[in-house]
Amino acid sequence: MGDKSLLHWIRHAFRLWAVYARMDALVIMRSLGTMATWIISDTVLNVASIMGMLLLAQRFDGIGMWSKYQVLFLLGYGSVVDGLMTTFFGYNVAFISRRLGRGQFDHTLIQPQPILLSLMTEGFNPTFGLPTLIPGIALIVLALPHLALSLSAGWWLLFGVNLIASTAIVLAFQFAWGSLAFRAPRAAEELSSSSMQLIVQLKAFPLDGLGGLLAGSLIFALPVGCVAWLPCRALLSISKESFAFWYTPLMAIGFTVFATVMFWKGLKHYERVGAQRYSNFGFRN
Amino acid sequence: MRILRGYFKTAAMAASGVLGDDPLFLVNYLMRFLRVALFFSLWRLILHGKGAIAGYTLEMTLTYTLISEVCRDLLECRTWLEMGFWDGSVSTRFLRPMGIFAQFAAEWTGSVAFHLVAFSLPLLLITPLLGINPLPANPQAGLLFALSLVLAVFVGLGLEYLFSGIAIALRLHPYVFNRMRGALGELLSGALLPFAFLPFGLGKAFAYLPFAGQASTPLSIYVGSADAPRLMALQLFWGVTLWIIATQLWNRNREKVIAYGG
Amino acid sequence: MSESGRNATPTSDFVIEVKGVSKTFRQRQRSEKLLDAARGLFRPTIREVHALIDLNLQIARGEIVAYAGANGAGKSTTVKILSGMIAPDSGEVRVLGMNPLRERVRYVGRIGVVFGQRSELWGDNPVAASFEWKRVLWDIPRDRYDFMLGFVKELLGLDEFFNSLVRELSLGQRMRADLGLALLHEPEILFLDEPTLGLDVLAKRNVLRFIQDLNRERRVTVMLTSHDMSELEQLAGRIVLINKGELAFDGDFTRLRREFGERRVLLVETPDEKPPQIEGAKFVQSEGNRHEFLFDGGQVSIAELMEQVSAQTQVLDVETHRAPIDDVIADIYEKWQASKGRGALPENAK
Repeated sequence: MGDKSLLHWIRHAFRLWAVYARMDALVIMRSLGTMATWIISDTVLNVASIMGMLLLAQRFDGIGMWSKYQVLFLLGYGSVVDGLMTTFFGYNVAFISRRLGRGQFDHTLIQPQPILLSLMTEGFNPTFGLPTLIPGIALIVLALPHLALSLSAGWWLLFGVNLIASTAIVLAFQFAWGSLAFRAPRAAEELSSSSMQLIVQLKAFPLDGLGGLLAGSLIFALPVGCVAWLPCRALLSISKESFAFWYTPLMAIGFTVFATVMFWKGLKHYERVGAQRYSNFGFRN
Repeated sequence: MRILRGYFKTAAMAASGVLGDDPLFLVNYLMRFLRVALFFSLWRLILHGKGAIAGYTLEMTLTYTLISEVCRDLLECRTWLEMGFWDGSVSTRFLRPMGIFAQFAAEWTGSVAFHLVAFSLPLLLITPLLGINPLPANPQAGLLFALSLVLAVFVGLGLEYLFSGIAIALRLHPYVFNRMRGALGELLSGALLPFAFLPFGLGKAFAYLPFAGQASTPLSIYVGSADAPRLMALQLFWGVTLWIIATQLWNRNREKVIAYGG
Repeated sequence: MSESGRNATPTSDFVIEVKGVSKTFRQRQRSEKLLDAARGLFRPTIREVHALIDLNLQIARGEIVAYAGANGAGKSTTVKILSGMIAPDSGEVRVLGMNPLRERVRYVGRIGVVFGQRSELWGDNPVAASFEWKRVLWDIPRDRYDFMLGFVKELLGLDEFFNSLVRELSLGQRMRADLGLALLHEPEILFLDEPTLGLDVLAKRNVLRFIQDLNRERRVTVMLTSHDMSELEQLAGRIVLINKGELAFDGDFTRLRREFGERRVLLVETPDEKPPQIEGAKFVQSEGNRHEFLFDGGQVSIAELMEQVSAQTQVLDVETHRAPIDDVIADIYEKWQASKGRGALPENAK
């Protein structure tokens, strides 16, 4: 952190978020066509990615032990996590393997601030995140009146904690896998996009009924189960264990530690070899 | 003959190009396997003990999902043509004595061939261990499936050619375009869910769209739930129509094609 | 930039000190054969590339140093080490009294880096947005920012495209914008890696003038790599040549010419189209009755050569000048290639 105080860096982070929010709005407002294309395509994409499960839930009046509206909540929760990722970790921060694989991490290294701060601020793009966040919030709002839940302040607090934990898990997962691009820039350049695709496609699947090995691997190895299924089981009282609310936050801590170690090791490797390739393509997009 | 040799050499280069990297493509295979395994469990969760629903038993649905994953690369038909234009790498391709689309198609053939051997075949072989029947409904269905698969590639490449042309003509960002196309394509093609399971009569409507020819038609023929001649005729119609429209579009947008991606 | 940052003065008169730095990269070899490629997935063949070998270099404040070498000589590796992007395998690097890698955050606030092939600008935003972004991220005080913005806008002529989208700029405009951006925080050292790559002659001249002005007016130390030797000669008082990772020459251009042969061009016009035979000079080409020769000014005098020509034919006109620096350097590279490196150099050249 150098010779500057923590308070300085916190203030600095807020100023950066403001700058990135403005830049993000400028990108989308470049032209009416661009604006329409992004908003429409992102909305279509987000609706399409959950539509399959939604239609199945409608057709079969729920899925397994999940009622139709519980599935709706699950889909909404997953979309909000997706929306938070897009809002806070866009510009190829979540797709970190692209930055590393394309040699664009050098740009981060010549910024006079801690790398962590760069990564936590540079991806802030609220304008682009909204088309993902809003449908997710809408689904939750639609589902809640049909669910027999006591929506106390405590529940909302746990909802928030789990939401942040789920987002942290997705980010950690992306960084853990993406760090492979430090070592194999070409081969791993699109690894983050594969892992994100996996999460986007599978985030809303109820994992009940899976075998122990498969369910375990989808929670502990490829944590798609933590994106929505595990926290929603607790929030919707499908899981009766009192500790269930804390599974996802605990997993988030574990994944964050793991991702930090992986990224740190990758960074040490990068110090030795640097980037042997560079591409302007998709720069910061 | 020379053109064919060039096509196959390009395909071979693309196939060996997959191996030229570190073995990270295996990670993608793992992800694909997990995805299909999750679908198997989902169907078992939904359809267990329910008998046939809209003509589909649990066993047929599992086979449908399996074959969809086994043939995924063929059914998706993604040549990444528009990416080549966006990142400018297409410029050198103009200097090669082969059509632009043919070059992308050749590369697609090579990588698909590789993934079919390295992922699809092993998946097909191990699924009986997971209690899934990989065989077609009957030998005739298997034969018609093979023909329909060829038509599916015809339709798929036509759609690819057309959509890339649209992306270039409208100067759409390929990232948005790809994600949107991927999500919509999976739903509308029937690769994700058999149309028979869709509510509100959506399945019947989707069956008439060109996307259906990409996945739903060959897959439903494979499991023996389709009127094969009618659907294959529809595939042929869409294939021819798409190619005509796409060729027209590309010819009209030649200048934009060159400028796409700056 | 904060005052405390500026107070971290170097430990000697030199702002850049490189001592015994070596760097080796491991490069995976790949086969064109499918079977070998499959084997290579699990048992890769690795080749070691020695990018830098025991490099020693010192640069004083206010110097403009040209850093040159053939492709793959180790120029960019040096710039990356000096800008704190990668670590050397061995040796010591101190710039502005700091270790670029270990004190990265403080250090990069005091240097500017421009890579000709890369851009620090945000592609989908207007140029102005990148400048505002830089102000916030580099924490530049508003008054200094306004002053420097005015300075770079005027010198680099940024006004005409300051509100244009970065993706829509020409290469020359983009480079000017990148240079301006790199200077906003008033760096003490500027690392320029091929800053004129792909620019037309006018844009190139403007960039070079700007670097000279900057060095003169603000005493910014500049380390610059380029393949354009005449450009380097025009700009830099000192040239460091690197060959296959080793320092091959460190001195001024006059010394470089002297030590590698005082290559000169002789143009003679005679009544005949057949060139005269001149001992001690190499015939290059004839254009009608105008004949071009190359000779080493340190070995043979013009008078001796003219004596030989006059003995053979009438001399209508004569012209002589020093060979372009690019030719001198090309000769040096050629010698290095032929001798696989170091052997071709006089020891005192290092």
